[in-house]
Amino acid sequence: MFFTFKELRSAAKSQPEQGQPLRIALLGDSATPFLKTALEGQGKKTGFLPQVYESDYDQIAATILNTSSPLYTFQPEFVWLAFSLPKIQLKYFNNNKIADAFVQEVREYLQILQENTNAKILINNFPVLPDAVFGNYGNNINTSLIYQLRKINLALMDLAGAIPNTFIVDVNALQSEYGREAVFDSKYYIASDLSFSLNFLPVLVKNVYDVIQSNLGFFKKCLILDLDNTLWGGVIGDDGIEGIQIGNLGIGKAFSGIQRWVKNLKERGIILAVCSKNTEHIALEPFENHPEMILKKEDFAIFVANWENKADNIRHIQQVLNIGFDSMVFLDDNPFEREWVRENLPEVSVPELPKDPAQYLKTLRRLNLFETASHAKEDKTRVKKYQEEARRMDYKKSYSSLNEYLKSLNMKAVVAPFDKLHFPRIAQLSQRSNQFNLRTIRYSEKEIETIASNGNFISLYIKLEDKFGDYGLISIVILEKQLNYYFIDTWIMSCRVLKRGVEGFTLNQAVEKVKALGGTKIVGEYLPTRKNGIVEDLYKNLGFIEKNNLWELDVLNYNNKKCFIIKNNE
Amino acid sequence: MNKEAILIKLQEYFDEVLEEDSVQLSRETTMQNTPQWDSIAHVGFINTIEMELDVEFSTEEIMQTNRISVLVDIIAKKLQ
Repeated sequence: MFFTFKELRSAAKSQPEQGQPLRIALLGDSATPFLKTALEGQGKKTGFLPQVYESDYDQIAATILNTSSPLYTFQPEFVWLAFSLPKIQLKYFNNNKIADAFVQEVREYLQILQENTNAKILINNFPVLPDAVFGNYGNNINTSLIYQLRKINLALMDLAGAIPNTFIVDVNALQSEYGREAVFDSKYYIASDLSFSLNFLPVLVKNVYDVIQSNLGFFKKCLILDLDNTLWGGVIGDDGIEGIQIGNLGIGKAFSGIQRWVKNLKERGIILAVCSKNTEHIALEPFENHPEMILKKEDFAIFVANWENKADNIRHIQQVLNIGFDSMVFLDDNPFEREWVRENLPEVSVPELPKDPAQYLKTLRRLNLFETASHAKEDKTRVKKYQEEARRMDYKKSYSSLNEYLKSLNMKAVVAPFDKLHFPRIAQLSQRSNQFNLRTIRYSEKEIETIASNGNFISLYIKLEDKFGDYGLISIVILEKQLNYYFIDTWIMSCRVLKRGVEGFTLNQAVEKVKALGGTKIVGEYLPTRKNGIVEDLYKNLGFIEKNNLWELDVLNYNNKKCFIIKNNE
Repeated sequence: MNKEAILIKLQEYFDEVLEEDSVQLSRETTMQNTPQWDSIAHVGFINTIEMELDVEFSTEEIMQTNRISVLVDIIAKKLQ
C-alpha cells in the first residue's frame, strides 16, 4: 500500500495504541531525517511500533567499525545501509575503479555487523545513471561510471546471495520502474542534501518494509484469480472458446502477459486458485482446449467456478488450503467483486486494477505483492502438495472414523537430527510458520547450523509421506539442555499435516532422545502471538503439567502417544 | 490569489508540516526568529507549497526564502 509523504509524516508523529515493536537502524551517507520520518510513518501504517536509530550524518563506517557505538547497544533487528548515488559519484570522481573497493568495504561492514548483532541487513543498490562522459561507449570502458555502478550492483547481488541475512533494496529497479525524475530532485539535493526526492520516499520505504515483513513471516502464499477479463479478454460463457481474447486475438497479448507472470509465480511456489462466477465445465473449456492458454488446469491447486458469492468461495479455498487469509491475494477486474471481498474478508489483499488490461502488469509490478525472504527447492512442488491435499479431503469423506482413515493413509516418517542438506528448509520453516509454532523464534540458516553442531541441543526434523504423496520436511523440534531438564526452545509443524497425529509422534521421538541422553524432564513454553492460537493448549493436551507459566513433562513415566505413523529411516 | 490569501495558505501548510509545533505566521516571520522553522521543516514546507500550489522554486529560491514576506512575494509572482 502506498501513502503520500504527507501521510507518512503525519503517521510518524502519531501514537498508535498497539503494534508489533520493531527496531531498525538507519545508516545513511546523506541527510536521513526524512528517511527516518518515512520509515516511522510507514511502520505505524502497517501495524508496527518502529523505533528507528539514525546514525550521524554520513557516518556509516564510523558507526559500524566502532563496536562500542550506540548502534550495538540499540540491538537492531534490521540494519538499513542507505547508500546513495551522489555519494558514490563523489567517490568515483577520485577513483574510477571504485566498485572493487566499495564492495570490499561493504563486505567488511557485513562481517562486523554479523559478528556483533543478530540483525538482518538491507543494502540499497545504486540507480544506474549515464553521466554522458563516454556516451553509449561507456559500455565498452570498464572505468566509466555506468560500468562501475553496474559492477557494484551485480557484486551486491552476489554478496546477498552468498551471505545469509543480507538483502538488497533494489533502488535501481525502482528507478527503472518510476524514472529518474521521480527518484531524485537535484534542487533538493543541492539545497538540502536529499539523495531521494521526498515524493519518492513512500515508494522506497514501502519496499524496505516489504523486505522486513517477509523476513518476519508476513508474506503472500496464494493467488486467487478470476477468469473472464482477468485471465482472458471477454466472457467465456457468452463469447465461446473462439471469441475470448488470448494470444493473438484482439488485446489477447495483454492477457498472455499476465498468464506468463502467474505461471512464473506458480513455479516460484505461489499456490494458484481460481474463483470465478461461471458454470464449471464452461470455465474449464479454455484450459482444456484453447491452444494459446499458458495456464493449464494442473497449475491450480483448487478450481472454484460456480454462482455462489466470491467471499464464500474464498472461505472455502482457505479451508482446503489451510493458510491464513492475510497470505492470500485476489485478482478480479470487476470492482463490485473486489469491494465485496474487501468488505467480507478484510485480511485478503485485493489490489485495485486499472480499467485497461494492458496496464494490469504495471500495477501489479509496482505493488510488489510477492516479496519473499527465502527460496527453497521444495517451493516448486508446493502446488502438487495442495492438490494431493484436496484429494485427501475427498478420500477422508469415505471413512467413518478418524483412526480408520489415518491408518489407511499408510503414513511413514523419517526422523533425524538437523543435517546440512536440510538447513535451508529448516530455516525456512522457522521463518515462515506462524500457526503451529510454540515460541515463534526465527532462525537463519547460519543459526540453524550453529544449533546443529552444538552438543547442548537436541534437534529433530520430521519428513512425512503417505499413500497420496510426499509432504517433505514438515516439523522441527529444538531442545536445549538445562541443568536438570530439556527446554523446548522451538517446536514447529506445518499446518498441512494437522490432525494426522504428527505432534504425538514427534513427542514420542523427542522423549526417546531425551531418555537416551539420561534426561528426566522436558519443559515447554507457549508464547502467544496473533496467529498461534491453535497450539495454546498443545502441552496440556499432550499431558504436560503447568508450573509457573511453563509446562513440564516427566519423561520417565511417559507413555507413547498412539499414532499411525511408522518410523522409516532408510 | 492575493497576498493575504497566500499567507493563509502558507499558514495551512506550515501547520501541516509542524503539526503541534506550528506557530502563527506573519510577513515578519523568519527562519532566524522561529526555531521550529529549521532546515528540515523548510524542505517539507517548500515541498508542500510546490505540490499544493503547483509552483516550482529554483534551487536558489529554496535556499533563500527564509522569510515569509519574501516567500509570499515570490509565490504571488509565480501565480500571476
